[in-house]
Amino acid sequence: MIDLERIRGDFPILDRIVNGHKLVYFDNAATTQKPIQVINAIVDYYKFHNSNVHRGVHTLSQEATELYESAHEEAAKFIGAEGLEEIVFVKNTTEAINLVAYSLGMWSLEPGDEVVITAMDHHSNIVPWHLMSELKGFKLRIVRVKQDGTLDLEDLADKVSSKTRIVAVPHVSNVLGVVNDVKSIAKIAHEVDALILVDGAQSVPHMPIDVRDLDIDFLAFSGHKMLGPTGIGVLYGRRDILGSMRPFLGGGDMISEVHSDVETGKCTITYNAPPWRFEAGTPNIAGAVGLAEAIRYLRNIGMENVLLHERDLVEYTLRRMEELGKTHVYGPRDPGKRLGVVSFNVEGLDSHETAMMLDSYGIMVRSGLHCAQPLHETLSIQTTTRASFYIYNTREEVDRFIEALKEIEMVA
Amino acid sequence: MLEEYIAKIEKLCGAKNDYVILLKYSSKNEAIEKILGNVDKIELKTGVMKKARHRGKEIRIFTTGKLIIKDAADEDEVKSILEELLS
Repeated sequence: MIDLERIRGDFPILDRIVNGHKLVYFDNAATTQKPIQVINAIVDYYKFHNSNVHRGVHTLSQEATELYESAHEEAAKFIGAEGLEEIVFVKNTTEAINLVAYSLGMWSLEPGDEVVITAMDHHSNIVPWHLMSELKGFKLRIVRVKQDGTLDLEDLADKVSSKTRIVAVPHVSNVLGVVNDVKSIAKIAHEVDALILVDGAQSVPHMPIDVRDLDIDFLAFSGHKMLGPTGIGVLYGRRDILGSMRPFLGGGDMISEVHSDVETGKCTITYNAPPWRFEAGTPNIAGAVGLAEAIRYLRNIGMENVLLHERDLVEYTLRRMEELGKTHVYGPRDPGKRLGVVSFNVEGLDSHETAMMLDSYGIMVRSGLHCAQPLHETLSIQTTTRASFYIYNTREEVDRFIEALKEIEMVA
Repeated sequence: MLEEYIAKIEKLCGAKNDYVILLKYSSKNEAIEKILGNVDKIELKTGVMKKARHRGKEIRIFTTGKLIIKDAADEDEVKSILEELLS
């Protein structure tokens, strides 16, 4: 069990009064709040250790480098990777997926190849592959989602073939909270020698992850959705695969040597080893320090405990929502099949009206398409209102949410 | 006049012709009072939201200082409606 009172005490923002009410923050699938430990780690870095990393011989540079590299180690341990060479720091999940799409797409994919994505995906796992398919002429195959919001694994198995080079899937839907069986999907992909990329934006912050147990080739996730700062994310890549990939962005620190010939205009470049090969230019050092602190914070709580807490909140929320007469909840009713995301609509109101009314009660939720328009189209829903939970949320907050919805239903 | 009361006008995500208007915090109460006085019809009043209609468009007015104007042709029409309501 987690000590909710102690955890909530670590988040200064939870003391805020918003629109005359104590803040209830249920927009965690978009971004999470930050504990004081993470805030202090970033401040501390800037106050005492700020310097550029790598190739500096002075003390501050060595301190900053050590902090930055140890953040890679923390991320590696957190997801069961072999070491820092499998952890590339990027801006966010979106950039991590773009890195793979551009690096592999540009140099390894060609007409006749296929990339398999799903109708459940966030736009960040659709658009990069679409752009690259337009450029390189390979084909996209899109796996169906069933009406209960779960992925159609039979359709996936049908669409994965000897032509498939990459299978890119979400671990957890950012709209429905549905958890996909990526271990089985990895098996299907590997049977045809395809690589698998998992969008872990909504899974890594909420459940234990072991990339070796899942047997996946790439995992993308964001720091800001797991108590860390914005502007830092992670691409896990299997060591041998990253080692064979060409860079996505060029610049300082991602090279070992650069020679240029002023007569011929030719450059001879040797690239650095992963992960630095994929981290061109000065990175987000403070962000990495903050992410490392966020990981330590989560590890202290224990990811099993995080998962249990969220499952309890979802189960409680779904049960209490049954008291509502005009509110429709999407996705499977079995809390064992989903994480802490509950999307819904109130009859007679659009999702934005519901969200703005909840805002009046100090309850922050998100409305719209959640960057997942194909999923909404599949389920024939225009938009949804989404409540999403994290470690600091409580059953009492769910009670306030339900009571507010009861009042909202009366004006719908 | 819009600059005096309006902080931002945005199209709502996933809604083709609906716009959200964020009122400036410092003048939101004055703006809401003017809007309620100028709309063609107030259809519903609750503690947190008022439903109104103006020039045939549905308008939602939230006490937090946000408005929704539904089914507007474009942002120019939204601005033109707001000019009338805030005059």
